[in-house]
Amino acid sequence: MAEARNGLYIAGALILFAGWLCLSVAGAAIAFSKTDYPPFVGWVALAVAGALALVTMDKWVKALPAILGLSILNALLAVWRGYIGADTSRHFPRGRAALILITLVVSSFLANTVASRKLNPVDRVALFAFLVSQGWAIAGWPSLAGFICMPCCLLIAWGHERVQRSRRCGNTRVE
Amino acid sequence: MKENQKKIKRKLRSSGCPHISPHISLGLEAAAQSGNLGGIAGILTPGFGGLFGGGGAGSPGGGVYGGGSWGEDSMIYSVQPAAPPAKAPAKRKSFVSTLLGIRQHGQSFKGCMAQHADQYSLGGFASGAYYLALKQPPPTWLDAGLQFTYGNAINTLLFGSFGSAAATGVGEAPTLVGESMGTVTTFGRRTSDLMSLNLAGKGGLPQALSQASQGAKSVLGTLSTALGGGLKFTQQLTLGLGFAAGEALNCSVEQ
Repeated sequence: MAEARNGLYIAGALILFAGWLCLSVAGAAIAFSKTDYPPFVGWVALAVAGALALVTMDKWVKALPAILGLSILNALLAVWRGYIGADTSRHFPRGRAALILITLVVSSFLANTVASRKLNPVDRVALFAFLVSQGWAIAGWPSLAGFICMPCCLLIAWGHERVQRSRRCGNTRVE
Repeated sequence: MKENQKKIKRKLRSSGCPHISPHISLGLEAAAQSGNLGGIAGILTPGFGGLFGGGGAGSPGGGVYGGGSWGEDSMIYSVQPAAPPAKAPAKRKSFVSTLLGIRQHGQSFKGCMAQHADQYSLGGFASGAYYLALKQPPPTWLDAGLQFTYGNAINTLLFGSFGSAAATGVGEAPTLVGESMGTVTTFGRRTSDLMSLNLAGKGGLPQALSQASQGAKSVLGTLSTALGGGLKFTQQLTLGLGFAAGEALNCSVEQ
């Protein structure tokens, strides 16, 4: 029973995440392209998506390693096959794919450390910057800049936590 | 007729193009003989940037095979425009096929699964959202970025490219091996190298997995956790198979 509930919870979370992703992509498309809709509609959609991400950060940060896992698997396939997805005409250099894979694996390690603790304000800012970087990585495809920024954001959160922890330990010793 | 020929040559000279290919000159002569200047305009339109645009039946086609009306001696054009293909009798769609069917008429199930493999993923959904917002498919780079980040690896692994399916399995080998250790090989486990399913085991770990493999197992476990991004292989498989099941449901019904 607990497993079924857990499965339903994961499925529900996945549907919500898919909805959020669609809202973000559609919002960005409307905001930055010439469409039938006025650009402010896209900006509103992006603002809503951003607000949702901020409000639900404590929840989705737990699933962040899993979401990155999808990307890692795709990156592995791209490194191995030399193209993306099912379309063999979508060639992608293996070296570049390997670099992206490294950034994703590093992000995954760092995301695990962030997911396992209570978030502080620096973590929240870093995680939001991580989301923006991911959007940049997709929108700026095939530029590596966004992908490199992703682990950097998490690295800031991880480094801040390490500094805080060492300070706490130092204070304890003094007392 | 000769006047026509002269007219054409004069126009060509005035257009600033001194070279006339033999095919075109042959065509010119043939057309001039049949007295059809419009067809010549149809030939020349693509080459001369619409210099003779609108000059006859051939020009709207904009190409050498653009369907002009030519004389019988023409060496470039066919004389008669192609007959329109016979329409197949309209097939009435059932409610189920309207709702679910994505497989085209005559298409195999595997072909349908391969064709739509990218669409049944988080990235595919996002591409769909882009299409709904802009009423046009997403640009190739955006589609590639979305597929790279949120594509369904399992689906593309199973149906995307059959040639590479076995090869890509190697990438998932650490997880598969890590998960299979200690489960599959417990059948008939014995304290010798002999593995048999029909002999009663005496207990104890098989020698192949006893001491030496522990280190390897922990390395593989760490590696698969790292590369799996904290998502167990079975969870990734479930997620991918969920999308694949949805696609299979739609591909099972013909349009």
